[in-house]
Amino acid sequence: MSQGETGDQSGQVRFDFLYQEQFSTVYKFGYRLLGDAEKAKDLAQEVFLRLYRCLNGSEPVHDVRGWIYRTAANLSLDWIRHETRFMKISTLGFGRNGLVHEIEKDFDKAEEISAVRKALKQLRPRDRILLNLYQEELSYKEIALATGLRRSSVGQLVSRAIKRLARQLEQGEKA
Amino acid sequence: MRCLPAKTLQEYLDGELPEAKNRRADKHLAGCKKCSQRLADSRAQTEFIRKKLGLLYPAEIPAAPAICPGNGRYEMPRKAELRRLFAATIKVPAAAVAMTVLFVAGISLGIALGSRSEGARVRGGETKSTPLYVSTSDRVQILSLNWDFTGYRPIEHPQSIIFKEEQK
Repeated sequence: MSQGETGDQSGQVRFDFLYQEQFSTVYKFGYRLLGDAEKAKDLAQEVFLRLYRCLNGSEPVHDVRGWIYRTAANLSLDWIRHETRFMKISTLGFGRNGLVHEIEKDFDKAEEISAVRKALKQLRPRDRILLNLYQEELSYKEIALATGLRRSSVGQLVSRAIKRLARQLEQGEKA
Repeated sequence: MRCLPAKTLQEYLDGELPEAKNRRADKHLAGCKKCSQRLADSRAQTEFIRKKLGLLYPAEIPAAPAICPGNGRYEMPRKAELRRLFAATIKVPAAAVAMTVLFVAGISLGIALGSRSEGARVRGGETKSTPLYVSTSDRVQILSLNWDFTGYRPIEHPQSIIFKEEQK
């Protein structure tokens, strides 16, 4: 969407549509990043609550998809930093509704997932978010919008983040 | 031409290079085995990481929770739930406490006004005070409350002061 939307009726109609269409996207993004179904749901709700306020307020939203990813990324970043600071979660991905269910279904796959989560956790929060956005197959422009980075820096940072994650995975296998 | 930097290789892989740069990269890759190998490695690594990150998709994706309209405005389900919880757990007891406080205050005011009018009648309006019974650890003191709310002062009333001592 190229033009700005403010608090008119079309904003509300648009919100309904976006909510139904993008909820699962934000949920998946949150689940991969935070490793917990409840947290992912909370993230999605918070994102759409903010979107609703924006669409019904005076603040125009020019690129809704970019806005959603940017808000989700910023909120996730806050949560990750908060968790890191207070050490509330010892291992990401072992939440009540997270991997436990999957472990029951497939132990090998769960081990692999656990290794990926562990490796991801070793990365800086910005790299984690960057890789998640990259995995969503967003364009560099969209990634730049969501993260506040310059578009010209995205390629290099993605390349480095991929290498770091590969290194972490390799180290995890050796350990 | 110099070898392609990692950034350019990544942008080439992701199809993010501008057309002119893309053509130059194609030309270079055609003649540079080292860069072709680096590109192949980079592609393999990217695919490997994508595959690994793909494992983190949730097994089930919940449907978007229904939006509850309220007071002509949309309300997120979680917020509505909190509001209902507030109504059930806080609003009702808070109302009960408020009513009790009002009730007690009303009775106190009634008693105070009654005593005041009685005191004024008995003493002929000479004093603006009414006795107040204050219980301490071992005896009962009778204090006088000034109606101008300047504070309490003891009443010189020996019989009342020894009231509790007599009961012992």
